[in-house]
Amino acid sequence: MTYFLLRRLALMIFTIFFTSLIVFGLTQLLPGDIARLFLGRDASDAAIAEFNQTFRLNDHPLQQYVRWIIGDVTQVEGDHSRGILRGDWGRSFSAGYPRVQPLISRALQYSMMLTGFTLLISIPISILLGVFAGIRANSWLDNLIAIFSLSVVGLPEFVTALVLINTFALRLGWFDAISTPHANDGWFTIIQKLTLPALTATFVLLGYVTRMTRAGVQEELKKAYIRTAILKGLPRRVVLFKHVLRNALLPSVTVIALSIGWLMGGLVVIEQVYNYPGLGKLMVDAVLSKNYPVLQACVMIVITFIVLSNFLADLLYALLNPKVRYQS
Amino acid sequence: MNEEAVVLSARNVSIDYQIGKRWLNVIHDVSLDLHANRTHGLVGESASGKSTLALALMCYLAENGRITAGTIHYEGRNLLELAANELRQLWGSKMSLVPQNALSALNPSYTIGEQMGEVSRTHLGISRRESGLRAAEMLRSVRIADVENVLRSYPFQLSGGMLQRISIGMALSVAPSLLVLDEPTTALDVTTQAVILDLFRELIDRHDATALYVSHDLGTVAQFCDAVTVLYGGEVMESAPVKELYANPKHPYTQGLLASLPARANAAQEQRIHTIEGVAPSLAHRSPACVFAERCKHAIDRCHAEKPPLEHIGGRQTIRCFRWQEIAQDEATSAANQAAAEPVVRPQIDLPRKNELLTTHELAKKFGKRNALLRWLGKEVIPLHALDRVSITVNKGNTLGIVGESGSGKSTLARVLVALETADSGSIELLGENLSYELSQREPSFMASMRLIPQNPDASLNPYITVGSALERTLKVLAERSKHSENWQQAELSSKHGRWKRVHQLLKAVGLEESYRQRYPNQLSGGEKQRVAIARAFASDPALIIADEPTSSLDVSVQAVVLNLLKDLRETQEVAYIFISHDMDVIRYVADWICVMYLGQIVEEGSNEQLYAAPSHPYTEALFSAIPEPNPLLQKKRIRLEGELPSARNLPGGCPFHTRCPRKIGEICETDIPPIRPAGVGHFIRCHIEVDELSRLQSATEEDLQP
Amino acid sequence: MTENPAAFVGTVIVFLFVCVALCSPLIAPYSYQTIIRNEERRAVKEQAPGEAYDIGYTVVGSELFPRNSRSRFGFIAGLRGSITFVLGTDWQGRDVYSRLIWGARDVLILPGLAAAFSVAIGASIGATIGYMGGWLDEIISRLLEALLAIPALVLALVLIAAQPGGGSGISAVLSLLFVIVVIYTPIVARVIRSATLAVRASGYVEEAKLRGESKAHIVFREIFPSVLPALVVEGALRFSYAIFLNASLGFLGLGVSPTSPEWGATINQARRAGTMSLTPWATWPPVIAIAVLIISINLMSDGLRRFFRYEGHHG
Repeated sequence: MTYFLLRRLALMIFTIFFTSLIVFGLTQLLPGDIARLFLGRDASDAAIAEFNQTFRLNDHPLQQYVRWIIGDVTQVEGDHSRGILRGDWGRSFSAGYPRVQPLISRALQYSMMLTGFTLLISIPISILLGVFAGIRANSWLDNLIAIFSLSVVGLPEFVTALVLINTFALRLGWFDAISTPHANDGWFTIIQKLTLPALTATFVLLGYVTRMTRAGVQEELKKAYIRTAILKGLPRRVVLFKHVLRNALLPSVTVIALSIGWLMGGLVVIEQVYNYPGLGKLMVDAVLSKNYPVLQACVMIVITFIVLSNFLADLLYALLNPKVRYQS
Repeated sequence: MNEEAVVLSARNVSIDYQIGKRWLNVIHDVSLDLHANRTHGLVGESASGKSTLALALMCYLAENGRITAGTIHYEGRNLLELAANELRQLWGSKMSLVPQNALSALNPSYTIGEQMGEVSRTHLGISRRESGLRAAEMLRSVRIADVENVLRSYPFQLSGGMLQRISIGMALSVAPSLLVLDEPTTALDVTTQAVILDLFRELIDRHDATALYVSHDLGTVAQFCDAVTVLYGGEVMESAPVKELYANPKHPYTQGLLASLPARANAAQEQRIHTIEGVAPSLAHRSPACVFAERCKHAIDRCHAEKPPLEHIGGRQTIRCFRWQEIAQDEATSAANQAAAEPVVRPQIDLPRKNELLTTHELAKKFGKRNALLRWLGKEVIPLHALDRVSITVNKGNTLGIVGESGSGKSTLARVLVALETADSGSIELLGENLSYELSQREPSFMASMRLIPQNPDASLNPYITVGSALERTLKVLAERSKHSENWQQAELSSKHGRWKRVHQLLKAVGLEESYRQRYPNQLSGGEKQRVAIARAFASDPALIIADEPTSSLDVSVQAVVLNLLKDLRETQEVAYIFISHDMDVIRYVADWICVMYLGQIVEEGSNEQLYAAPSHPYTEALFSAIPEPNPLLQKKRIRLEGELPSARNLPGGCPFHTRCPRKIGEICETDIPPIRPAGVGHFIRCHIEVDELSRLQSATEEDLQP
Repeated sequence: MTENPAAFVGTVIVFLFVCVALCSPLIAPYSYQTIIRNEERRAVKEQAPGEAYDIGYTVVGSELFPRNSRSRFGFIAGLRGSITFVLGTDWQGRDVYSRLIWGARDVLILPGLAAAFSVAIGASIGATIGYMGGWLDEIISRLLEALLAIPALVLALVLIAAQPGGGSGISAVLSLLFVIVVIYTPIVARVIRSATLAVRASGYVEEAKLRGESKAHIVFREIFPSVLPALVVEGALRFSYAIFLNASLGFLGLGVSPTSPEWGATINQARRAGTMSLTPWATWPPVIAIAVLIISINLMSDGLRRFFRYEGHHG
């Protein structure tokens, strides 16, 4: 099994490296001047020249890439970059050329909070619903859950977000419509602010996880070893929890692990609607304003989280499935 | 316990199942008694409902099943009146199940120790440590050697035979008084089956248990059971003590079933097997009359109008037939007449090396090549030796039988011959021409002269194409490419009309009506699908047909029809067969020449007569003794192979059989490859023991068994 | 059809939406850009006083025309032939109903094309690598896996950022089409690949090989019919996802054009104008429309899946 994990680790590193190439490469593919794209058609030549100089956009692409990754090796004039590997994500295009790194880490913090809270809500609900639906297949409860899954849950996030805001924030006043956190918010306020966005994200996750769990449970109940367990005279509780769920939940667990990646970077729309300053919002703003250094940094972080969550999913799968562990 | 005591008594039990929206009656009016310390066999073909009944007798039904009538008394109590938790107390402690497929009946995520321990902890309330000790003891009693290791293993790490031992060990954990065995050895090789059944017998006797043994295999039932119930279409046809049933079957179905065994045909030296006409009834509706009447050659009007009741006729026998006494008299008279008839003479067969059609020379194949890239990706596979220097010869018009168990390489041989797999070395020659290993490089006319009947009839027909279209397409494509045989009238087949005419001929030749041409595969039964596969193989008028286990997935009665068909076609079409099977009775029935394969090698080859007489290769000998005779009076000498089949990835050196050979003579068997010794004209045995010595040893053992 | 009434209803609704989308120029009373002038409105009000209601309000300069407190939706009946502002006008004076209908075109046609392309391309890739196997399969599968790991929106953002953008009309449409196709082709390829693999080893495919059938025949006549159910279900699913993605991008302001009547974009425009709660009759119809559309497609896909008894994969 260690060999299996080591291979996965190597694959991870390779993927991240490969992604960095792609992400960087995309900006180089753009026709026309990055500077002109950002500053606009009316920008003066002098402004463009200064821009290019600051960001070393006239250097050879490979040179720029290396600088991005490991920074300036020799002493240079102007801005000195230490490279991603040493935690320096460069500077943003926007006014004052602020450093990217603090922007990223703030957004990252917020995204992690939202992710954590979402998982906290969604995992228990979706698994419970899925298990109930699976055990009582084709009953009214199952059909209800199925309809719920198919309808509410497949909707675009902005739809559910707007409905939720309208109901809970505007009409009932339980929550705020805007979820921008402030530095000195107490934990209760934070939870309040996170609730609606997390609920919206939960709706999307519910769709996959509930269906996966239901299918998993259904499959398991048909298996011959469940019959064996029953005919051994084991109590119903034991059959269900020890035998059925142990195997049935495996696909759901991996799906949940995989969704961590999505939660970190894919909540673009939700963050936009609730005005929550996570990575998603940062990315959208970067795209809209053509702020490539910020975009590159965001994408790298998101990809890293995705790769990590894939690895986590593989790890969980290997831990829970003896066949993978013992295959030599 | 008193032998007369009845442990379980079922009376007039009927069971319904819900499929889709409809309720189907699966079991009707079944009554039987299980007597203490006796093993009761429940025999039936595939749609008979025997497994459903067996589980229902434990009062276990799937979600969509209902017992709609009758009573089941166990040790005085009516099981149907018990509450769920009372049943749970019985299950696992007083009555246990030994299931059919041990691998799928065990949870893959828990160790063997855990799954065995559960039972005793639940019913005896003992601690985890105690249950562990108990489990270890159970494993020792089923003769598993490395107990500690097995307890820590997961099911997928163990072999089928091992898992079956664990199953019965688990079932006997809390000393049940009733054991239900649901086809426990169907998935095992014949040699493994023999060992496991011996073990079962010993354990059941030791625990003084009563057993219900469900099977479709009339041979094992004859050897293993004390009494038998025959089930057809969900109803009991006949019940009797085993000797009585096999010697004097009273119900026409039982008679037909026994007659359709190849073993019976072999014993009587007959050229054709008796068959039961027609197909099994569907569950869609239950006939108000005798459920067997449609297929019964003794049926009269009354049989088609009324359902006969299940009568007790003394001596623990029951029968459901109006005319059984008359039938018994008829049979007695015809048997007397038959004894006076001439024994049939087997036709003369060609000696080998004359009139050769197909030969192979030192054919070898390994699966899984070493590949650096794959190893890095972690996907490398240790090579599996499938074929090891196989040389066979098939003569025109003869049948070569290839017999072997799992891992013998017989299927690989078939696939290599038709180039679905590529050989690594050796040669294949058809009519003197060398055949390429690759399908794309073979002459199309050779593809037409050598055809395959594949193993699984369900998968070999495209579900979206009608039977007729499939045949027509085969004709069209092969006709375009072939030019070898005079019977192959290409002009005729180049027109659509000509092809359809031939399709009708083919359907007729395999006994299917014209209307079948419009049917889709999912509208055919297993036997009918196999007949279509046979028609398709014959479409191009081939010189050689390779039949890879063509009847293994079919019921006994259907198998008989197909075997007769194959024999008839051989006469009319002048075709040679390579017939591959694991069933020695079938091989004995169809083959002129036989090769016995073990771990990719041919260990013995010879004519039909030569093979079934001494001297034999020790493996062949063990194989024979493992086959259960459908005759309870016949006791074979018992040669049992201990140990597991070695993995084909890790072949033993020298003679591959030495790890299990009961006649191993010493170190030479481990180190040196055994020589091929002639034992008669065309008869060869690959063994270190001299042929004369083998003869002596093998005859001697038989004498020892004589009382 | 009748066993699954929900799916049937869903299919009918989808069909209706598609018809509306295709016939939008014929149905919509107004173009999606027409701004109803104040003068027209006052004229209407004068001509039928007491019966006419104000049709919401518009911002013209800095003047706000308040809406009638008795009604949420403004109707004007009977003038200029049978012109009716069924749903009133939005904050800029454009007819909501017309914008809804015009929006249907943007919501359905572009994603529909994108779905069709990704199914066509994805199926070809999937079937090819499924049938050929070997190192080609290994390499392409790895690539697909990598692409699939990235959430659709993130990938969309990256691809959009990589384009010069700023253009409008055909080039904007094409680039959005390109983005959606790239995002959804991998999953179709993977699904079709699995379906192909499942069939490839069947007995009847081997039998076809033994007859000497050409590869083309095997793929099209033997394998394809079994793959068809997967294809159809995937097509419906991709359609649903493409609409989803397109609407989300529109909502973010990254769609075809910022002023397009596409429903997601409309909602975005309302938010940016700050008028969401002030003119709810203008902002809720697109929301409801999207919800109904997507639910209907999901029901339809589920019905298709059950019809073909196709278990398939998830997501």
